[in-house]
Order: sequence, then structure tokens, then C-alpha cells
Amino acid sequence: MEVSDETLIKRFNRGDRKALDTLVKRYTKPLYNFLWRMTECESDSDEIFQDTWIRVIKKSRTFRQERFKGWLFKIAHNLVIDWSRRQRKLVSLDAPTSGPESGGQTWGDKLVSRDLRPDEQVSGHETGQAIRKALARLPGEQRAVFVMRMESGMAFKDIAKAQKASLSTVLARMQYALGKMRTMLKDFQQDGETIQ
Amino acid sequence: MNCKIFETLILLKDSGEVTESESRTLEEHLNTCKTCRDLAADLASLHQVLQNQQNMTHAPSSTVLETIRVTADERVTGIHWAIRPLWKVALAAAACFVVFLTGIRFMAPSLSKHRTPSPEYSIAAEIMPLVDLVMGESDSSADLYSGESDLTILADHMLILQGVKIDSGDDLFSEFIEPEDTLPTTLQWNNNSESRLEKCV
Repeated sequence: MEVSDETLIKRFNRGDRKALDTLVKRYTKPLYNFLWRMTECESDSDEIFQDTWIRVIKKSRTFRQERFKGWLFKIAHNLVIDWSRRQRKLVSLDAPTSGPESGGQTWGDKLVSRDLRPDEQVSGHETGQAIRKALARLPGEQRAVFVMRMESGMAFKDIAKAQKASLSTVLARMQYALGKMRTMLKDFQQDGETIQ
Repeated sequence: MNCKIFETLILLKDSGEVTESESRTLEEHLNTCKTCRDLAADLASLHQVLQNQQNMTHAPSSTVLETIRVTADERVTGIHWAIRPLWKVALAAAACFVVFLTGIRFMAPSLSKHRTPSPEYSIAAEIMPLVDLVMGESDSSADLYSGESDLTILADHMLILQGVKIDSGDDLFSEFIEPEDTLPTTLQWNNNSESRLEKCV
């Protein structure tokens, strides 16, 4: 039987170094994917991933009774907000890029028109491109909810804790995000691209 | 029927956050509502696409993982000392105390060898045989103090102990503050002189 996250963090607080290794392994994929989707940048994802775990390590003694996953993503989400304030990316994705050669292109368009990642080259870039573009067009909070739920597999109550919002707010954000994603992906399909 | 509620239920069912009765209600609704069925199907499809993507996506660099490991090591080392079980700390303290006491025990005799006896101690050593003599517990009294009033000698010594200067004619005890050199090793009392006492201030 798998040891719970809460037990592992308690063990770490008692000096069990391997307990933290287990937690890091358990959450590397969902957390890193969330960060990647939010930042669309490997070095930024690396930086926030590292900062998140360092905060977990330093503040693990303050962890009380709440769910570890919600706590972990709350830390990560706060760091993403800090990062976005610095980068000004989340608020400006739909804004047109400046400069005479922009040609009405938005920051979101610019973001997804970067070189394809290896996984996209292998699996067919249409799917990856379509999802990236659709996600990039979502407002920051909606995108965060969508990625936490769909990619990181978080429950809505944990997402609510991570975002310091009510469950109904989080569900509303998800509904909006899902609605927009469906519309955008259907548009891509109509343009001759396929999702799967 | 209001599909907004069921859209929420579709999301909650997807995350496993619905009760059995809610799930049954949703199933009944999905049997009759195509819009909600399409939403549920799209959600499942999107899940599948993202899962497939996830299997090929990214991982943090080894440097990042190493930094996390080092930070955890530093923290654990700190914890190790901070929350060491109390009984171990107590045991270590008790061991230190025992070693300290043992050291004192073995060092004490060697220290006492170098201690200079006080004048009072020397005089007391002198008068103890006299006390024995007066109390009739000494067999050698005749040899030691023949012809002298034992009680007088004892009284003089007691006065010396109390800080009284004795003028016996030859200032035998006038400098008794430095007794080791000035006090006689054996008592040789002047038989002819009358002890005259004057109080030292």
C-alpha cells in the first residue's frame, strides 16, 4: 500500500531523507507539467520547480493536517504568479506584439510559433500546437485551473486551496476554460487539423 | 432542465468528487441530454490527448534535482541534531557528569598533599594528646609532661586557638600566625615562668 503524502512529509520532518525523495518522485511529472504549461519555458519551469521544493523543505514543519498536494501546488501557483508579474506574460498573451513587423500578431501567437519541441516533432505537431495555442489564449487563472485538473490530476478542492478561491469559483473557471478549449480545438479541426 | 448544474457535475465526476446519488442523477441526465453527453465526451477526449502528450513531455534538469537533494540533506542534518531523542541527550549528560565526578575523586588526594595546614590545625594536633591526657586516656602522659600542670598547658593552647597571645617570657608563641616554623614540634614548657595572657586585638 502506498504511503500517504502526509505521512511522508511527517517522516521527513523527523529526519527521514528518503521520504522527501519519494515525494519529489511522485510529484515531479504533474508539477513540472503544470509549470511548463504555465510558463512555456524550460528554464523558468526548472527555476520554479526548484524554488517550490526548496520552500516545501524549508516550510515543511509548518505543514498541518491539510492535503499535501494542495499545499504543494499552492506554493507552485504562488511562485508562478510572482513569475508572471515579473514576466508580464499572463496578462499580455492576447495583446498585440509591439513593433512595426508584428503584423497584428499577439504574444500568444508568438509563443506557440516557436520551434517545435521534440515530443511535438515525434507525435505530430498538430496536436501539440493546437493545445499549446489554445492554452496560451486562456486567462492565467483559468489556464492554471485547467492544467492543474487536466494535466496534474488535482481534485477541485485542492485546486481551490492552491488558488485560495472557493470551490464554485474554481469550477466556474474550469467551465470557462473547457468551453474555450473546446471551441478553439474545434476551430483547429475545421481548419483541417486534427486533435488526435 | 438546467444543464449548467450538470456541467459542474460532469467536471466533478471526472475528478472523482461526486457522491453516488449525484453520479446516478448525472447518468440519468446524460441519457436524455445530447449537449451534456458531448461535453462529457470532449472532456474524456481531451484527457486522453493530454495524457498522451504528458508521456512524452518534460522533466526537470539533473542540476535542479541535485539542488533539491542537497537542500534536503542540509535540512535533515539540522533536524537530526534538533530532534535527537531526549533520553539520548540525558544519557550523554549523565555520562559526562560521571566522568567529571570520577576525575574529582582521583584528583582530590593529590591536591590535599600540597595543602598547607592552618596554624589552628597544627595546634589542634598538638593539644589532642593533652586532651587525651586530661581525660585519662593516654598512657604516655608521665613521659611527655612530667612536672607541668597539664591543665595549664591545655588552657594555653585553647586560648591560642581562640586568638589569644601568650607571653611566656621567651615569646615562644608570640608569632603563632606562622606556626609551622615557630611552634615547637614537641612541647618544652618553661617550668619557672608564669604564663601571662594578654588579649590580642
